[in-house]
Amino acid sequence: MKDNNLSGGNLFSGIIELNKTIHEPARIAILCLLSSVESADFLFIMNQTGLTQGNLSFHLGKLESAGYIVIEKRFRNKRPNTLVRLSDTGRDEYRRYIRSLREFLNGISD
Amino acid sequence: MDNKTKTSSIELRLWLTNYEDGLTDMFFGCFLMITGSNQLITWFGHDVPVYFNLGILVLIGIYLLLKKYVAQPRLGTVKFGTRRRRKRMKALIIAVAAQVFTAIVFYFALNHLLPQGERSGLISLIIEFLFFLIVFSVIGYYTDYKWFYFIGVIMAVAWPVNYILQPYLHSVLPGIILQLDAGSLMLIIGMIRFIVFLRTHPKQGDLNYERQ
Repeated sequence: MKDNNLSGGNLFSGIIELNKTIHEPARIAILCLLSSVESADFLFIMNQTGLTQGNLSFHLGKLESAGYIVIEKRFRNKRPNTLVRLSDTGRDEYRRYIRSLREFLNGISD
Repeated sequence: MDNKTKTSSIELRLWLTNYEDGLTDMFFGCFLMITGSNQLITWFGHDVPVYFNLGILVLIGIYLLLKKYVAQPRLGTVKFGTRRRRKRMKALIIAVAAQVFTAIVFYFALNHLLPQGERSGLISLIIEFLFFLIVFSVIGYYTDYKWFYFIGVIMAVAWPVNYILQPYLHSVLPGIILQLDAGSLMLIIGMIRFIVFLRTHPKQGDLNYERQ
């Protein structure tokens, strides 16, 4: 066990310990978008990420359960509208995730 | 720093989606055409600044309605961060200040309070050239709408072109035609972009989050 650590176990701890809730292409895209703006509605996120309604709902649900985003359902011009924004926890976790991933990728040659 | 740059470039790309409906191109195309046709009317001896102001107001109204009822239901809504809102506010302040400045100069000119003569005419042309160029470029910089540089150049060049060519052509048409052509170009490009936008972004009804 000890030998395993010495032979490179710690080397990959960065990538192994990446946040699994975030580490999914669709969720990275959603968080990246939300980290660049204050808030966006469901349709805007769908248009920009290219995800389907069901897919986007699924990933937003995962992120909301983890407390990374805040979903607010409201009415706009008498029509239902879903507003999504990043929570403080979500912003911190997203930054940590990007930092860890970048650190790991910097050590890899093409 | 790298992280900040990457976020900014994505934020910029998201911001530019505001213009992908082509409505802003069409708006400023019409704006240039209205300024050009207003000069044409003035050249024919009808001094009607009301026509210009009314035209712009109607244009703003149509633009806002199309944005709200055509573009927004297709594109969705997004609220940008403080940095972007500050930039937008700066652009708005500069635009309003430029309007106030133009109105004051216009008042002075109407009441013959500005110095007359060949030399002062040239100086006012240079000031006007720089004014349009600087104002539109700064607004273009703050709004990231590249067409503003083009509008600035056209607006800045229109009067000097007339000033230089009038002794030979005895007409102010070249400057007016320049604005009308540039406006038409922007309007056509805007219309093409608008049609493409309508095709690529069909109205999707009430698409909303459904908990799964």
